[in-house]
Formats: sequence, C-alpha cells, structure tokens
Amino acid sequence: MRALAIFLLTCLSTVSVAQKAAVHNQRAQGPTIMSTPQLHQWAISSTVAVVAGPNTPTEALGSGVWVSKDGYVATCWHVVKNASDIQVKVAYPGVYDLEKNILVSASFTLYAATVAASDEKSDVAILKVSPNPFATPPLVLTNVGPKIKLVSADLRTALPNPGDLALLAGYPLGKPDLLTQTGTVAAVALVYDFQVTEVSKGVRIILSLVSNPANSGGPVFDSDGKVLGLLEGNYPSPVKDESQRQALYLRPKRDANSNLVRDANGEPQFEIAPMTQNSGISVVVPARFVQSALDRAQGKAPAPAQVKGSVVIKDNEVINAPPDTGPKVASSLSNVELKRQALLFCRHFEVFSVSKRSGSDN
Amino acid sequence: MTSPLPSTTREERQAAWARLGQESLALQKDMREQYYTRFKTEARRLRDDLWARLPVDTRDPQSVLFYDYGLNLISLRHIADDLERLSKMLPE
Repeated sequence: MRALAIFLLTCLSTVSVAQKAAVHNQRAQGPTIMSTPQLHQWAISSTVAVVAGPNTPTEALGSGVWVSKDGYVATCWHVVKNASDIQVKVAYPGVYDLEKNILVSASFTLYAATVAASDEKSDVAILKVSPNPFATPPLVLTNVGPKIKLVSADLRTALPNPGDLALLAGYPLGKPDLLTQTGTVAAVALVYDFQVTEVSKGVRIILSLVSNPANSGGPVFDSDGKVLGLLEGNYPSPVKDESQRQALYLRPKRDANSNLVRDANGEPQFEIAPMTQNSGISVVVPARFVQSALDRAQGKAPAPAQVKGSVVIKDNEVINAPPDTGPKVASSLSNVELKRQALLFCRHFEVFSVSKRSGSDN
Repeated sequence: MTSPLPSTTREERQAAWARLGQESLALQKDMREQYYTRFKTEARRLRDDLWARLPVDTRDPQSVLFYDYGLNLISLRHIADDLERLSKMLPE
C-alpha cells in the first residue's frame, strides 16, 4: 500500500512537470489558449504572497505577481502602504502522504522587497525584490516535491471584453497553497462607489467572482496566461443574511500600533475576525496601470495615453475633451437661445427620469 | 429594523426579492434604451455647443461616460445637472 501511494505521488509529480513543460513550450510559440490546469500551473510559477507590515508574520497579507525578470513584483498599493518591512514569499506546493494522512513537506522562501514605484489612485505598487531570484542561479527552485520554475508574467494592457474568462490566483486567508478561481469579466467600468483606500478610484475591470482577504494584489489571468490586472477588492453585499450568520477567519493579532502580538515564546498570536459579506463582484485594477507603474520603476518613458471613443485614459485618469479634440465651432444660435433650449431640455429630461424612478412613463 | 416585505415565508420573500431584481433590471434596460433613442443626441448636441462657447476648464471630464452611455438614474441626474450648470455659466 505504501509503495502504491509513493507510486501515485510520483505519477502526480510527473504529470505536473509535464503540464508545466507544455505551458512553457506553448508560451515560447506565442499566444495560445491555455486550459484551466495549464493556467493553474502558470499561476503557481508566477504568483507570490506578499507579507507586509511592521514586525511581519509569515502569513500573507496580500498576493502579487512577477512582472519582470529584473525582480519586480506587482501588487496593490493598499497591501504595502505604511509598511516598513515587506517580504515576497515564494511558496512551494505541499507534498502529501495520503496513507499517513500527513503533509510531507511544505516550504517557502522569503525575499526582502522595497517599493520601487507606486500609484495610489490606481492602487498599484511595484516591489523590487532583492536578491533577484531570476538572476541568481538556479532558476529552478527545488524542494522535496515538484520543481518550480519562476516565470515573469506578461501584462495585457488592452482592456478585456465582457464575457472573457479570467482566472484569479493568490494566497487568500493566509493559506500556504496557491488558490485559483475562475470567473468572467462582467464589465469595464468607471468605478466611483468602491474604494479600498481614500484615493483609489478610476477605471476598473469588474469580475464576477468572490475574492477573499489577502487576495488583494493577486493576478487575474486571461486565457492566454497574460495578466489582465490585479485584484483590488470585493464589493460588500448590501444584503444581510437573514440568519445573521457571518463567516470567520483567522488573522494575525495586532496591537493598536499595528505591531504583531506575540506570546512568551515569541510565537505570533492569532484572532478570529469576521469576514465582510461579499457580493461576488470583484474589482480589478487594469494591467495598463501596472505597466505604467512598472515603466516608472524601470525608468522608462511613460506610455502614450490610450484613446477609447470620446474618452482619453491616461494612467488612471479619465481625461476628456482635451483642447485639441473638443468642439471648436459653436452653432449659429445666440447664447440666449442656446441657454433656453438647454434649460428646457433639462426640464423634459428630469420629468423623464422622475417618471422612470416612479415606474411610470410619460 | 422592520422588513419592507410582508411577513411571509422564506420562499415567498426570496421570490419577491428575485422579482424585484428582475423588475429593476428591466426598468434600467428600458430607461437606457429610451435615453439612447430620445435624449442622447440632443444632450450631446447641447453639451458640445455649450463647450464651444465656454472655457475648457468648465468641462467636467467625468461626465463624458454618463453622456455616452446613460448608465442609470444617477447618470441621468448628472447629465441634467451638468447641462444646467453649463447653461447658467453662459453669458447672455
């Protein structure tokens, strides 16, 4: 029986390595559609946990993704804001012995990181990891279990279309293993009613998917394995559960100064905290803002503004009607007549909107 | 807090909630279609004419999406407010 279990584990590892090899081969051949298992393997190779704060524990407070082989990781700014001590955690998948029902091995490597560039409004931070694991051989990090070859994910700077499939990866709830979820791009919208910080707002990708604490900053991949954006948060549900049941999760305990509370042996303490009831609608920072921040971190010239319809999007700012593209010629109407027409239109329009609000039509 | 729904069974309340959601979506869809057919062109014509006569810094960049898509009642309110604001800034 023991031999059988080891044989099965070996087979699983072999399949896993074969899948990863297929992923890397496909990437080398250019854009292609990946299956969900391939995307998961791709996510394992490129997604990291981000541990941040004064006196940090090893539990992730956020997630991130390698975006450059120069050792840059992209995450959300709200994950690392006010943090004096930031670490990027590369976790190895656990190896399990089903016969003994135990975890044989699970380990991770922590790298020190600093904020190289940030954009508070877009809620993006680019971390510079030192030493750069891509520059330090061997690239293949070995463990008792399967090997991981770190990869840097490409950014898809074009906005996705509603209906596109997406895969969220991260280390939510302090879990040691990478968790992925599939969802659908529901919309691209100018989000003004959801803010995880005081300043974060702007154009966002809306994803039909329930994300969790510490998913923040985690990559959302398209079916080609490119990063569509970073998970920023989840709309809270406006509807309360009738029974008032609330999900709970374990989080590191901190004092009033955000310092980790430890016991007499120096071990970090944990507390049970209620989770916000989620609506299942997640907000994603588009990869274009990540690219802008990455360019700044690498000292490159900023990308030109993206023109979409009558809206110009530059960084996270929606800039409309710049002087050279706005209307230049006024009609032959007098100011008085135009003003009269505009105010009359407003009255008709308001009557229409009020009738719609009350459910009747005029 | 008292529930706005009558005291019925859980299934009836869930059905009422689902019906309310569907009605709300249908209303929004109808409103958006009517905005497109009855108001959009005129709203944009008036805005562009007002923009051409007023300084550039009077333009509200955030309003463009509302004019273009008329997403919901808040957007319609925003359009009306924006047109009223611009027209009142116009010298006679």
